[in-house]
Amino acid sequence: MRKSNAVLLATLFSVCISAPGYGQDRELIGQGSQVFDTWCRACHGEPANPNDMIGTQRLQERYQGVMPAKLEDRTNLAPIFIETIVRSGISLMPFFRKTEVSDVDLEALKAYLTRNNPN
Amino acid sequence: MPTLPPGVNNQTFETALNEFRNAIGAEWVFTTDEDVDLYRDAYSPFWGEEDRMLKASAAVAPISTEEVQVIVRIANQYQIPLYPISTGKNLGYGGSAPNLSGSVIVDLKRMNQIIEVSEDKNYAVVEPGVSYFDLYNYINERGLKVWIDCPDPGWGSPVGNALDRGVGYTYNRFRDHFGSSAGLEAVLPNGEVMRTGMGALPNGELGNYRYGFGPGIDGLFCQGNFGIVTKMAFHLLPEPEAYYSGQVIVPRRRDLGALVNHVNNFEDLGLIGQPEYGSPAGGFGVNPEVQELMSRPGGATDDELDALSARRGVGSWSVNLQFYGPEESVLANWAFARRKIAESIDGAQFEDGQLYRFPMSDEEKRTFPHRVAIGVPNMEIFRIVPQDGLLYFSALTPRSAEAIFRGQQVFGEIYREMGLGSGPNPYQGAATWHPRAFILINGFSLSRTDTDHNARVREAFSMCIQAAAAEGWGEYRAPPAFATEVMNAYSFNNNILRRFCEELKDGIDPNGIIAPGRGGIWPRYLREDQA
Repeated sequence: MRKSNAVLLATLFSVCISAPGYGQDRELIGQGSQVFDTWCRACHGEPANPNDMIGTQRLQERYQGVMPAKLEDRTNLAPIFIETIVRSGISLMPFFRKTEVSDVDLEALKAYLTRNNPN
Repeated sequence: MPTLPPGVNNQTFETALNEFRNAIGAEWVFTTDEDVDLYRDAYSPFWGEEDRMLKASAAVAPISTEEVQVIVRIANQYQIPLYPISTGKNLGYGGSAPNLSGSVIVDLKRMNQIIEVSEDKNYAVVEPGVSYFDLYNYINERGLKVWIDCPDPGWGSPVGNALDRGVGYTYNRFRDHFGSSAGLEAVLPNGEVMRTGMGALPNGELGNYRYGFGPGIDGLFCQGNFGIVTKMAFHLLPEPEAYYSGQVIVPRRRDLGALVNHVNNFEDLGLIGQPEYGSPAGGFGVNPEVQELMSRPGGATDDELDALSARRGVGSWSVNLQFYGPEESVLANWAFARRKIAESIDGAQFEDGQLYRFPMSDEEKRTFPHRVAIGVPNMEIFRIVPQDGLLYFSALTPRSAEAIFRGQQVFGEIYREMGLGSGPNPYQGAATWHPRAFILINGFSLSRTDTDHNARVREAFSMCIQAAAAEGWGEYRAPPAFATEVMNAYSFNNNILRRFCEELKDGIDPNGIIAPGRGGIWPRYLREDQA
């Protein structure tokens, strides 16, 4: 039985702080950067105007500056948190199929988004 | 346990899956709950009601037309319903979920080849898995002097969008995306490949003349279930020299009638791209004073609303006019539009916009105010999507102010009756994506947890379908849960449109394997369930 999103996300928010990343596998991080460009940047990049980059804007509203609104600037994303959001979606963000973000892509994305996490 | 297709037992289903695996490789046949759940509709009106969610039984992801043919032949042998998706991003209209639970999704995302972009003849030929972002990037990276016309969300597929009669923002002959198609290739329900237009000639090309010879067949693949489209050609705009937009504001609520007539003419003369109606007095949010007037029994009169607008110093309606072409032409056409409107609408005001010249740098494009207007795909539209997604009720009406006013009344009553807010406000205009009709959009927010709310939304949606039909209006596009109801509303002569499609369906797809229920067209073996 799939856990409800609300329960899962509440759990994950509590573990995403100061989560260790994937170390510095540069090749994997490079691949993850490309995955981010293809699938994430259109909503989670740098806004060109107040209507742009809904992901960045909503995270700014949610965190109010306590954490960076841009995912690429975060240093506390847990790999399992990234996986859950990609595969379960959150708020208006839908989940992604494996023909879009494959399991291999997802591992690379996790490496990229956790590259600056403290070890 | 997967949700099996109707009438298919577990053993037959497993045999079919094994044949799919042999045909396209096991890694491209998705069968675990975890993988198949990714084909649900993220904006489904059935969240929280597991039994009612439209769910696939499995998904297959071919990489070529040949693989699609093999899949279709296997499906025919075992009578497995298939449901093709292109990029699967039709959010608000079903996402990647099938119309019939138990269908096997044919996920065409891996078929992502841009086969040709012609800068000389201004067309592109693409596979279904190509997104607007992909096509735009391909053109931009090569510095080709052609533009795409894109819808609001850039991650959609030109093929998938056109096949659901999606729309964009530039000139009328491009922003009706199916209308701008120029031939297609499809795998028919028996596994044969057919091409339309000039592509039907052995040495012919997709991309030029759409019709070829004989009956127009390509329309059958639009909101239908007569095959799986594997290639499609589209006309592209040659990059214009300049873009200009100017805004017109008219003072009184009833000035909309004359304004619409002028704008219809500009559109039909080919002078403007998509006109965008708005209101300085209304907009997306409603002014509290307007709300107070509207909440009184009987609502507000036009005179009261006009007096309020005058007191606030704002006009009642605006329209943004967009011009593309040579610099001299766009400025001359704006001057013409101003003159015609000023001659007949007392107090009309005009706000000059900015002239943009092309080619434009990537940075200039990034900061352009409404990027889709110049064919630059993006995702800004999601700013209007509520927390858990939404459904769009999108009624086609004649292009008139009367239709807008009547729509506000008809759909507003339904929102209020169902306790879903006040509905359209007195300044809610029409979408003009389709060049020959207005689309009255009514959005309904959904909830992942509040099933009562979703049930009310579904009921209101059905009421809207019926209320629209009573006015002679129908939807241009429908989420799967409502496709049958919408098709049935097109009921002239005892639903002859639907019955004709059913006869075709039975003849072309006797096992009823291609997208049962899409477009409200069901194969014989499932029709009784829908009655």
